[in-house]
Amino acid sequence: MTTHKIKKGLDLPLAGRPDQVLTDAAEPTSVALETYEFAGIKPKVLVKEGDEVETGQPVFLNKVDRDIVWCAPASGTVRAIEFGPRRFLTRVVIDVGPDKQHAALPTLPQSGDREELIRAIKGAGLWPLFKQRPLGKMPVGEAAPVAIFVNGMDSAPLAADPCFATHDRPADLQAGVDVLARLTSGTVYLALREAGDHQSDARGLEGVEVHEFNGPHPAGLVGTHIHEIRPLKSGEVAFAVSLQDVARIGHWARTGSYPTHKVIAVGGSEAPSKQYFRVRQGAPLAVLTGGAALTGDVRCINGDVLHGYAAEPDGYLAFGNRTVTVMQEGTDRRDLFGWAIPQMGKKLSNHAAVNFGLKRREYAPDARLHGGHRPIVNIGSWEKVLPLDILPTFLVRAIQARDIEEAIKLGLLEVTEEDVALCTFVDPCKIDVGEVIRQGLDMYEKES
Amino acid sequence: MRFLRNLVDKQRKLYHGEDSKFHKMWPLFDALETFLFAPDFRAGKQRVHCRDYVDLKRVMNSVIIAMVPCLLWAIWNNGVQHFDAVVKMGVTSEGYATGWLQGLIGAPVFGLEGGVSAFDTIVFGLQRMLPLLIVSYGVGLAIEGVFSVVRKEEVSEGYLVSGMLIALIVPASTPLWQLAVGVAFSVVLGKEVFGGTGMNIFNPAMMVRAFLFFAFPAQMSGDAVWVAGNSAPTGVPGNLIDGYAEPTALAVAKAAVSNGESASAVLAEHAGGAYSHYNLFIGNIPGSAGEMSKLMVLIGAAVLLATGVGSWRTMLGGVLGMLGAAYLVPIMSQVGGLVSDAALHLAPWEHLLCGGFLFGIVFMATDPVSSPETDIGKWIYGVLIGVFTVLVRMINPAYPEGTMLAILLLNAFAPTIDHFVVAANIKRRLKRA
Repeated sequence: MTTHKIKKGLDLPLAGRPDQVLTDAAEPTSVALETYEFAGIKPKVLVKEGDEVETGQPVFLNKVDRDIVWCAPASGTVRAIEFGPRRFLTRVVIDVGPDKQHAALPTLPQSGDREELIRAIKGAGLWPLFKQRPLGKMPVGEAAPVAIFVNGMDSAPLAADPCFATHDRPADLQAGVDVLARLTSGTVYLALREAGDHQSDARGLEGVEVHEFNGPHPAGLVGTHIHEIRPLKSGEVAFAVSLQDVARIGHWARTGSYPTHKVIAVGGSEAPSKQYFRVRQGAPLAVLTGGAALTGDVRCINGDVLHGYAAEPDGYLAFGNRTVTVMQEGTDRRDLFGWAIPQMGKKLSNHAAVNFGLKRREYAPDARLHGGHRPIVNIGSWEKVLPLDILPTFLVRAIQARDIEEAIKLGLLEVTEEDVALCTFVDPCKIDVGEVIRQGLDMYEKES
Repeated sequence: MRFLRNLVDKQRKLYHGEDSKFHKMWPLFDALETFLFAPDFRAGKQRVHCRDYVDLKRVMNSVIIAMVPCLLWAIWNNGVQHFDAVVKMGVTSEGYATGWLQGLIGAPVFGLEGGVSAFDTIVFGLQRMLPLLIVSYGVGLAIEGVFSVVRKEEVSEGYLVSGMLIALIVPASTPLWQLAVGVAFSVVLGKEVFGGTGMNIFNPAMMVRAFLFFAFPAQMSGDAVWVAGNSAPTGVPGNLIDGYAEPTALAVAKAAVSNGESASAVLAEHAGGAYSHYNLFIGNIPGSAGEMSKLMVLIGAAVLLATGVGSWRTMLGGVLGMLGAAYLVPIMSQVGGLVSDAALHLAPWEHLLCGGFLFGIVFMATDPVSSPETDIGKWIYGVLIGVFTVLVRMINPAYPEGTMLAILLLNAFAPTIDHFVVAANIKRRLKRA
């Protein structure tokens, strides 16, 4: 076991930390599968409006790799199939009916054949739980992962603790890890906080190499873990998966049924109840936020404040999401002399906003940028929050100059937008660094 | 506040949108509006949903706050130096020609021993500093505004710092038309042609000074000090200060070394202790408008470091580079005969007290745009500024002070320094892979 100390970074002291209390959320009357979080897929819908679907029945597939499907998280009737611009599938909504399991759901193959295993995972709708590095998207193509990184910690603000979310499921975890071990010829790494509650199950897992991390966010991001544990060589790919998703894979491996439920942390200053819920995948967010759709000047985020998607008031829980954050939106809140007034207790990344000695006090953020967009003026704030051996300013400039070769040399393939989210947060010029990084990765994909 | 908000919103209609009456002036309106009210921008629908309270306005504001002690000292000390010189020249109330502010408020009252009150001192200081600030900001911001309108971009805050810096690093006696020409030159050719704030190679404020230094050497030779007078017809003693020549501390030191005397000793005795260590530190000496008091510079440095806006690497690197070079250069170059006996030179720490180095390394070298952007690069850059300043001070026969030239030189080399640091990063990555 190795301990990695992350020195650079920033923990945002946001108000509304979820209590470590787990309750079952109400069963939803409808569920939805949405496509926006899977960049690069070409969905082809497999059901029609009015069709009866069973739990675990494929609802749409990815035309890029037709083995990859997304399964209905509940049985019932397809109420709506919605398309966006250019007839791109945006979501499938299912009215929940009586529970019926899909009998044709693939089960874990007993033979050691890796191809067969991959096909089974894809057919069971669990492949989208993996993210591939580089690129930070769902893995496609043939490249075998040289390692699999399981993330047993999430250091993002108000994020769900994966160890708490899985602490009563040691059998599922072990079964999931066994599946991972068959997927790669390399090592399965598990990253955990150096000290934390509810870790005994995770630490008892066999077949994983545990690495401990301590320090501020982004100590709990897989990009940081890979960088510290085993940087990828050119041409290598690794898979990343969250500990809770390992338990879901393990649930499928053990029981042969589709894992319909997951544990979600609900936090943020405006969240009606700040705690953990066990909830059906694809449930409406309202199930977690008091029953009715949220109104008022709030932003409900599928994810945490650094790596999430803002949801519509009638939105649904995203497939890969484990955290829901409800924060203030801050519409038309325009401080007089906002650039000069001290922000006591809110100052975060540097002291220009005057909060000496008050760093730890929690505050309720809103979605305002607090400034206008400017060209890059580097006062060293990005470097202060990026623990990777990467020069973010030069990387961003290389991408902006569309010099992908140089960007790769500068480490483009080691990062995704989530690794630089803190840079975006602290940037005085209000540049969306993650957007630039994603543009760079897209350019790289197009070229290769 | 509600009233102000409504007022701005009403005006906004005249400027916002393609079909509005004054839409071409939108960047100017926007600059004013965002000065009053934080802009109503909110985070996008994905990725990062909340942002820090720091924006470029706040960053620039921190630097301006850091410069305020220097400005206050400039106002005070320009008055002090002026009346010292006036009294030394034997001028009293009768022979004294008043300036514009003194004309408004009242001529200074000379006491029995020739001194004036603190109030009169401040009035004179304001009389010199306000026009410098007004011209520097007025010309600079006007040009920035025009470029913003032409480019249809938001007006950037960068010049708010440059404008103040410029007023602090030129002699208080600089003719205003020269200053205006210098500012126009620097903002247009030093900054806007590169694309505006964030794109320039050289520090714009340093460009102004360099321009004045080379274009108007009569007023800015660098070895005689500047004591501001009132610009009135020549021949009236009160207006000096053309006739009043006093060498700077560094010029005294340089002359002493070339005469084979110990610079430290000569400096300490010069003009009855005018250049004592205490005076040099407190800033009770003549000089450019704002760089005189090392104490005020250190207060400013503390603000920059506490707010995290200035780079401690550049500052510390610069100080160490200067101390190291001031110690080593005389010893090493004795062999080649370039520099005379090491014992003759100022002690390394005395170099820090003399001239504008401290001001330069704290406020000018730390400019985030024209300095290197890598941490290691900032160390190298800082150290080299210190070293080159000392080299100019010790070896160059023409200029007693080298801070300006050193910073401009290293501005030019900043991308090169970064290039090597970046290359090392790339090499490290290739090795790992």
